[in-house]
Amino acid sequence: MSASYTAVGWNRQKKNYDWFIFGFCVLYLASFIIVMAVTNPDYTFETALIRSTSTLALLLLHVILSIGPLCRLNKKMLPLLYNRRHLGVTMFTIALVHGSFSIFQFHALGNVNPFVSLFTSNTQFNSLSQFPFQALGFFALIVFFLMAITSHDFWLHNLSPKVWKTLHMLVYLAYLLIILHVMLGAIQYETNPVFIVILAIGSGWLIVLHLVAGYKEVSKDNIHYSLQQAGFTYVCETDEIADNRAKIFCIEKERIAVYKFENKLYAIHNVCKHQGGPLGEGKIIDGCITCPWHGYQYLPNNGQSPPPFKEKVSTYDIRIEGTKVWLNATPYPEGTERPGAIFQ
Amino acid sequence: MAVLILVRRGVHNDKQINMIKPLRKKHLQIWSMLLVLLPVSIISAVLARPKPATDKLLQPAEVAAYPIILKTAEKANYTIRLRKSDNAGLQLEWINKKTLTIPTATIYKRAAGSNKIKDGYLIGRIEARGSYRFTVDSSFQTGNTASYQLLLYDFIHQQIIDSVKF
Repeated sequence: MSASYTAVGWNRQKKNYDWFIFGFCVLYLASFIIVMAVTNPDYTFETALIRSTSTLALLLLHVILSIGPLCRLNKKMLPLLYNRRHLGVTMFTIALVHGSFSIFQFHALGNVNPFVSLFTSNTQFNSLSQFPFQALGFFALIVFFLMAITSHDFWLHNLSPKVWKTLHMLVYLAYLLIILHVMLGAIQYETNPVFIVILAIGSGWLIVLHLVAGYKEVSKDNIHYSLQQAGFTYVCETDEIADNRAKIFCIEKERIAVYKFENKLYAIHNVCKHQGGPLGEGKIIDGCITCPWHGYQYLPNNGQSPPPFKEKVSTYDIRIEGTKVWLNATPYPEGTERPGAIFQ
Repeated sequence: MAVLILVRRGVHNDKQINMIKPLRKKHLQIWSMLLVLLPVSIISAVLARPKPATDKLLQPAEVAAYPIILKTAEKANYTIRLRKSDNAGLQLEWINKKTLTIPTATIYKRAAGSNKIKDGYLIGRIEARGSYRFTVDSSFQTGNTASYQLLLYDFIHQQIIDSVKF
């Protein structure tokens, strides 16, 4: 969370995360190239580099696409989400090395512009086995490029969250293009079925993970609260919420986080202003509700970020009768002070 | 009170707030589509894979060996046998023990001492690997073996590779 533009707001956690990614990538590439040199000495270094970077980028892409739903299914995975953008930029960089060396090796040694050659050397669009698969990888790389250069809060604020999120959801299209790129490319000439099995398992894993997480979210949204009284809805008992934590309730199609903090209950809108993170899945740190995704903070009594930050979310009325918690789902304007409900 | 509720509803309809639920829905819709598209893509691509090229001999399928061995000639790279069937048919068997350095060659029968291919009798063609059997006529009879020799001829480079006598 920063009040002004900085390239990367480095902290110890981010540095450790990036060193780990860097070490893993170097180890993977080195191991792949050494094993290939030993088992297939006929292959050139360029070929080894093209293959090692392609498999590494594909592996990282699967990890990146797993992080979101894993966090929805298990809160312990949330630290992975914190620096997902760094992993995404790393994946793009590796994919760029793969693409650059491929274009150089297969298209840059003639007298035709390499990019013209990329799209004109094979035009068998009507054949599945001879399909110009390199173009599919190229378009996927364009998507990854756009995502990588906009992976910063500067672009999130300037493009607006809606445009930014729509742009970054193109990753699913890019993933489909990559699967086709691999299946219609390398796999067409690969006799070892292990690669196909690994790819099918990877895709199957992502499909199951996303659908399970998606249906879990839908079921949360569909919980019906029938007990109502003068605009308030009965949502839970006071002891169902842990200290400094929250429970999320979906009423009138909006999610509201009810936090317990210093013998009071506070209700704020569940969606973080930064990237739409689930505020109700965070916790109170230094007296502030802290988003589990990127650490954006809000005061529980008014939904405002502490100065000098300016983010604000809506607040709600909450009432306690005995041990019953009643919530009014009508939001106050963002940043409106609400006293919270005292409980015994 | 009504005014207050309207003001609150105005906030409720803020674009950024309302974006989240449709996004969740959009994610679910996209992955529901990928549930179909990904398996279809993978299976289609697997089915479209060209069958791997297999070694295909230019000669017709190997015929069964005749049961009786009349003569055998051994060379470093091949074994040649003259075989006989139960009803007196003759067969020349050529077995490559090692892969030949030439991709293909022809076998000729020629009078002993002559190296002129154009006067030879073509028995058949072999390739660098495998074993071959050719039906031959009665002139290959055991009593005549001293009168002829077999020539292995590289017809691409037009040179005799080897000559064999039983």
